[in-house]
Amino acid sequence: MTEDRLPRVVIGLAMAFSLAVLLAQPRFKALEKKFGVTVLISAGLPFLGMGAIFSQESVGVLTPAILTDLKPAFEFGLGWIGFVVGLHFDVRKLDSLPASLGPVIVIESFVPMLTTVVLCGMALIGMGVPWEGHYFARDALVLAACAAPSAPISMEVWQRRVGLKAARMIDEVTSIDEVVGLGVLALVAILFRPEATEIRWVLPSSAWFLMTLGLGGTLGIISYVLLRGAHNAAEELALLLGAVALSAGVAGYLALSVPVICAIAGALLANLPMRDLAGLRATLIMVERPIYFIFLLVVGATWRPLEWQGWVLAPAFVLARVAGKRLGAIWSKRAGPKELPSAGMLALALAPQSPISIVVIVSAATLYQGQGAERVRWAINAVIIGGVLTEVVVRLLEWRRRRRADLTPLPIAIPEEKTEAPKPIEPARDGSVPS
Amino acid sequence: MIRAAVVLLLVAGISFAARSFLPANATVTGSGAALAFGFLLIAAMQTAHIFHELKLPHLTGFILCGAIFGPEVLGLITPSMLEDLVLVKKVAVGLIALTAGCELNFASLWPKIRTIGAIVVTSLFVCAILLFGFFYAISAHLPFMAGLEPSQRAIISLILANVLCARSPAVVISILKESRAAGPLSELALSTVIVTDLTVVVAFAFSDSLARKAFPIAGVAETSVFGALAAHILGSIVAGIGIALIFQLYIRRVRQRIGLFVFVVLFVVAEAGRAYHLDPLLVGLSAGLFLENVSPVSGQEVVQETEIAAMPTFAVFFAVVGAEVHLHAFVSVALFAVLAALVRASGLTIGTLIAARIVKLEPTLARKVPFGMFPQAGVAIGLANLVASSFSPWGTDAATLILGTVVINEMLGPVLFRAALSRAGEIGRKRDQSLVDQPSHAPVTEVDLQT
Repeated sequence: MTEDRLPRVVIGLAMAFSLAVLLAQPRFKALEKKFGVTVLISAGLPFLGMGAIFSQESVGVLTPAILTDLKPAFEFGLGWIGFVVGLHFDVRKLDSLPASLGPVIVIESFVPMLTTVVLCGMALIGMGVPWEGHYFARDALVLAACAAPSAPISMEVWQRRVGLKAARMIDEVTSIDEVVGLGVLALVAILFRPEATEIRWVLPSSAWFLMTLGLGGTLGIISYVLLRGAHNAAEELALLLGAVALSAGVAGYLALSVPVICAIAGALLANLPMRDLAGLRATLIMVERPIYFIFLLVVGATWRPLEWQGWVLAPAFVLARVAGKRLGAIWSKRAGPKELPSAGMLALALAPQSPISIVVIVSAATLYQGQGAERVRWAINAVIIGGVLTEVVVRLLEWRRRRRADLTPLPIAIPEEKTEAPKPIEPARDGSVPS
Repeated sequence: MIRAAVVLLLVAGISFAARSFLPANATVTGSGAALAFGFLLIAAMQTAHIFHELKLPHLTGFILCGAIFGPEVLGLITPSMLEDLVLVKKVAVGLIALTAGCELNFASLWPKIRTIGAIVVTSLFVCAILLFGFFYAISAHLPFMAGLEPSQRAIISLILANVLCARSPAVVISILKESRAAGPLSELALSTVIVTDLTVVVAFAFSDSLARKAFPIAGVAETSVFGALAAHILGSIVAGIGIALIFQLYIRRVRQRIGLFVFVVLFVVAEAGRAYHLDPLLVGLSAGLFLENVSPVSGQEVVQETEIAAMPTFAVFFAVVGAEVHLHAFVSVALFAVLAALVRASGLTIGTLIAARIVKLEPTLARKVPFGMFPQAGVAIGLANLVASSFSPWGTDAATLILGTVVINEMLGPVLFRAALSRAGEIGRKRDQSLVDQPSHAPVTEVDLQT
């Protein structure tokens, strides 16, 4: 950092921090939940924008030197977010769900991926990208992986709209489709290995598949053993930081997808016996937001919103994704449990794009930087713009439904008297406890 | 202990395996630093668990772990990874210094000011005299001094003595934190070490000026680091006060995520320090002292808010310090280094005992105070590097001797200080509602399983 840049860097970081504090206010989070706005729009976009502005040469806050200094924090952020996604993958919780919800999850994840591959593939060909090479398939698959995850729903809003049971089911679907997105990213990282001449290991894809599972599993077991040995909360947090950093570092070193490895580790941890898994999850989520903001700031610095190709790809991505979710909802209604809301409502709930999409695309960009770099930039652009466009589309659809009085809140059900002791209620992913 | 050893081996195995994916000299920006950070954090904490069972300080475990896995022994952590962790280290130094400053309350120390002053002056004076005498006496046997004029040998001896008088506030504060120690020994050790280190840095500016006069470099204008050091010290103190005012304003007005705010500010200080030659240690220390003693905001509040980050910060910082230990340098000067460490320890002990007699300090306490002065780390290493880069051709060899001595004090100092705290009965006397006093979420006990 040169002397003349210091005041700007200080002012810039002060602005970023002030925004982070403002957006982390409980009152702000309550507003987010009340209006059902996703974190991508409420908090993500300002940080992405700020990152993009700060990285401009004329502004000079996020200089290349500072970005290099933030690179470990960025990798760590990818790992932390992946770890939190994995930690939600509790098989015991899945077992308690109706069996017919399984097909819903599969349909709602894979149909949008399929439509995205088709539509975005066509858009890429239309922009002159040759479709014969394996890079084309890689980019289409990465975009498909970004299409699967839906944003966590606001339990407060959706419970009123469709009832507690249905809202719970939708919440589970949004939880698992994030894992599906990361699964596809894992597949991409295994099948399309980054090309580098100095790599010492030459392994077939099947070996990389086993390596991904084995590494994630081993790191999960290590995390578990570490946490079991923690004597107090301070040590636990320190070890958790270490476990995520190590997982992120090892995965990055081996050119595997960082969030995928960390998600496998997190998933394993979630399924091993632990005294207070919800408490551990709360600790992780408490640290997640600031890490996510730093992550977005760095992503924003590499975002090139002025490239027109991204703006062409974005509508195709949004159209494919929303149409895929709608199509999936129609089929899900036939195949899924009868408590599911109407296909329209289900599609509306699942349409908003999860922040994990950005994690997926950025992780892919980190893996393949230098190999079709311009297409990776367009894809980042498309996913970021797509998140905003989807939100606009969802608001329009909600407005239409409200006009047709289709979104009338349900009457609050009076619970029947039960003789059994009530089971403890697990908080939803948005942190709220259903009433 | 067995669990910690198994985890340590497993983590080291995975990291070594991952490193073999690329050639040894390859650098992976981001992933390399994350790997080094994660590995050092976990490995250091597991080593600390083993050391805890052995009744040794965690800090020595952190340092030893860094030294073993660092570039000079096993080479798992490469020099480029250490370079990537420089920023983490600087932020850690700032945090440690801030904590140290916040722990020093002038009002409560005022009744002991005479004792502190006497210990600082006499221990420094006696230690410096003995070290100077020792180095001058052996100068004929040291290859880099053997052929020089007596006056030149005297000046090099002065430089060596000056640097080796440095203490380590970072080590002292870390030992006090990990052992949750509180009491008269803890208070005296921390306050004397901080004041002495400031004096040593200022004194170095004078020694350096003398050395430059005695060893003029042909073709280079005679410039002294005195002005630069004065600006560096004063600038850092002023910056520290400015930062304390910002903290005060933030804590009083915003009161949200104070810990995160402190970290962001320390990050900026670490970044700005490169351009403005600010010392994160001095900046953090003066900020902490200002907060605790001048500002209406309590320094303890800042300490509590940053507690969440203290353990990982300390573990990684000292592991990095350990990884930077110059073991090869130590081996080449082992005998002289051991002797110098013994002379230093004697000087500190004699000086403190003289001070104790002057101010009538309780003898049992006086005998334990020097143990807090034995550890050395950051400041001594920094000054040694300055000697190496400033004085050619003898600077490098002199720095090697200094670093060799620092290795001994770095390894043994914390062990001796912790033992002194234990004998004084001060360990575990500090209790607050920090995270260290709260249980973890993880272990499933027999009782949990039954219920």
